[in-house]
Amino acid sequence: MRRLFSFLLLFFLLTSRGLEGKVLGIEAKEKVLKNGLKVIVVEDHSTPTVTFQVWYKVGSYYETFGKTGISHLLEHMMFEGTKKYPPGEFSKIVARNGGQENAFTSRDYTAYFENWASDRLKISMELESDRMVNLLLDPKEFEREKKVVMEERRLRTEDDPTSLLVEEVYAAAFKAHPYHWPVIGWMKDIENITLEDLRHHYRTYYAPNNAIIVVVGDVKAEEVFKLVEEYFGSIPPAKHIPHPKYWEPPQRGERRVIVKSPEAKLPFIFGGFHVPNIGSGEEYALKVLVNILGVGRSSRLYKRLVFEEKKALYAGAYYSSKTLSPGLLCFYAAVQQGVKPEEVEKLIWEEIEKIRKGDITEKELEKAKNQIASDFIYGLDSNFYRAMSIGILEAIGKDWRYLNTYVDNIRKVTKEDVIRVARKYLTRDNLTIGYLLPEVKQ
Amino acid sequence: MSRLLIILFGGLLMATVAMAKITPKITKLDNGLEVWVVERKVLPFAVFKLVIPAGSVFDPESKAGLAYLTSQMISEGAGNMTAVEISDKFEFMGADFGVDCNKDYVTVSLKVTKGYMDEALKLFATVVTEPTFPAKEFVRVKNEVVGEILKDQEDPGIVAAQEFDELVYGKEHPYHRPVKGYIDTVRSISLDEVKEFYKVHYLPEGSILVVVGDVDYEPLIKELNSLFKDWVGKAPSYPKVETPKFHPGKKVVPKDVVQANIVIGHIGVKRSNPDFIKLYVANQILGGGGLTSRLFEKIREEKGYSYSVYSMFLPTLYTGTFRIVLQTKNASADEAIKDVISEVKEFVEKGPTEKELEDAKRYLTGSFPLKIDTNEEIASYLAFAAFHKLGPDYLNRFTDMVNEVTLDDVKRVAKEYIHPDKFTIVVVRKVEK
Repeated sequence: MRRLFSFLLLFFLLTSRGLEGKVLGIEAKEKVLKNGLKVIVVEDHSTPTVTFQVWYKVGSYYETFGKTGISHLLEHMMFEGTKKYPPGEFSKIVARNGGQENAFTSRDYTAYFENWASDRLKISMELESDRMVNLLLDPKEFEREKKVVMEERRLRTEDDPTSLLVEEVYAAAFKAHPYHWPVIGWMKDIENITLEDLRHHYRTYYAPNNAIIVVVGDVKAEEVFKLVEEYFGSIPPAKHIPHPKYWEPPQRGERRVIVKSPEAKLPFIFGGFHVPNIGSGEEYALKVLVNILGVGRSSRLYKRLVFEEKKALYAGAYYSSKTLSPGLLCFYAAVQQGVKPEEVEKLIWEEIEKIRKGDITEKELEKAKNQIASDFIYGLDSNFYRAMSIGILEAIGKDWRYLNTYVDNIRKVTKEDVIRVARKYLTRDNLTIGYLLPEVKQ
Repeated sequence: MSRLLIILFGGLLMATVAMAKITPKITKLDNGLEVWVVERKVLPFAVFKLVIPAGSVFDPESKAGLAYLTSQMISEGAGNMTAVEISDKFEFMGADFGVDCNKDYVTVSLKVTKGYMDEALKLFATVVTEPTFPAKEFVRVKNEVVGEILKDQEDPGIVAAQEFDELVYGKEHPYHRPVKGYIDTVRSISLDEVKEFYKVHYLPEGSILVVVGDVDYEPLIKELNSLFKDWVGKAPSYPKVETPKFHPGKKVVPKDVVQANIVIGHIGVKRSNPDFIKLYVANQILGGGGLTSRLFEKIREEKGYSYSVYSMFLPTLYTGTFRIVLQTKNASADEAIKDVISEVKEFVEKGPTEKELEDAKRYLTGSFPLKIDTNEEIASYLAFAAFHKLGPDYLNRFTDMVNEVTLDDVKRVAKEYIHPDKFTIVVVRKVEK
């Protein structure tokens, strides 16, 4: 991300008691240009604003050893000028027109956006079509921006013991697959990436046939299609866009990681199980499972570790199925002062064992489903988030309509489904677990 | 294309979104609780924010953390329910419930879908008006707060900000203390003190409830009157506090980090200062939001020293602070501080250009409607406006207030309220022995 900027990536569909029979969902119109650019438009005239987002199918998944962080570095350089708009001009134009802009890079995608009055739509078209092909990649700006990204890594990771732990756990859980490295990249890689590397990455992945435009707001779909044609229609498609396939070999036993930090005051536990992702059919049961296990103060982990045993400050679990490759179902616990992380880990396993044995109440199941359904409704209250949920799905090669059946599919999950996926995936041999330990100075 | 070029460069069009007016209906319940309601039926849910004048400014010095601890205890048992039962009920309804405490006030928040609204509101009212403060949970929550304070010490940004407040305010001003207090003071707080703090401060007269979303005004008020009928009394007004003095100086806090965390600034103004909006606009040019401020240009876009750099005037009840915040690798810290100060000096001496002012106003007025386009955001802004008595039409007046700011205003307020020669500088960094 270009600037400190965080949001929940969790969006889910509904149909619940909250809806009084109405089915809420997303209605969009779409078109694919001759050059392969896909455009998706949601008309919403409730406020005279619009969000314009360009999604590229590139992220740290598409990188290689030695060049990690290149997608994120390129995202930064996308603000550093084209032939037509010199460095800094892009941001000034957006600001002067009352717009919010930014970008974010993940493992699977990179996205750019402007939010502003709907009559500014054309400026997005002009600026985004320009930087899709005409990026300057000036050597001086590049060297300086590299320093900024290294500062970003220091800020987000190097001086944050918990982030270091999460990074190490992912690196241990994924050995063959590019989810091994962090999106921001390893420090030395950031330093070593050349302008030529960047230029190559840009030419390879920034093309209309590797992009999706999502527009949500006070616009007419037909007019948006016309404008996109006008501004982006003449950009030639890339001839060859590599979409490498990576597979993580099966894990054959528990993996353990220790991170020591002189500045950590309390131990922290972070663990993850390899689980399937979207399209597997098991993602719904996994989502319900993770809510029962660790979403909210009344979830299994929080209730046991914090309320009953008082051995953690907080604890929880999360899982996102909307990824290009299968990821991890993760759990965490902030261990209390004077408590050994081993004690907390033992309790976590006891809770997992209970679920594996079938100890789930119908009420717990319904609670998890209600949480997922309401979160979806809350998420619909913003053009930006709706565009994002569409963009994520399309960028990982799925259809945005998936959103409109999500909550129904969540509602269909049975207790047996949850127990089945818990037994299948929440096993010792499938776990990578890490401890953050305060380093005692000698 | 020609029209576009005009928008891009000439700026003949105003960048202001013709914003739908957001005007809350305001009333007082029978018990004196002020209620602000915005009926916004875009989606079947609503957000409730109850603002209670019970922030950490009320803490006795030796019991720093009392207000925070009290705020964290209200949902740990209420009516005949245990802590777990309360969470379980809210979560079963898919509702988000939370309690936040800052230096000025406490906010109790609820977000819930329409179908569960009555039930959730009833639970919300029970938590606010009938907390039971069980001794068992008190010991646990106190230990958790101590743990949170330790965790905060892991974060060099939080350490720098807290040290800055200690120095800028000095011991005599309540804002010098962190909201959560100190480990020693938190440990010394008794359950009786928490109960007493609740009894004295958590009262309807002086508190404000903001509601935004899919609700109907009349039946809602009726329901609220019935839910809160036994909750009566007047919250004490805020204590008199001497205006803090400047405390110029520099302090280095040693920490084993790779990046120096820097906070530079001094005392600022109260939110009620009539110059606040002028300062807000001036600060936008110097170091405000977006990717275009002078500090952003200099420190990040020219020098590459920092990922994030910004300045702000904190909008608080008592005199707030003006602060510049940045992080850079230990080796660049001194240079970056020098550059920041010279940039601020130039801004104060010469002021911005007419064009910079114009651009800043366009950014602030144009992006404002985007900041209030969800139930959650509208409720947050209104709760803030209600607490600071900015008026029910504050959101609707904001654009005009910004547009009225002149170049002379900005130059004047920059000189009057920003004093680089009186800066307090805090640097959390690695110190080689």
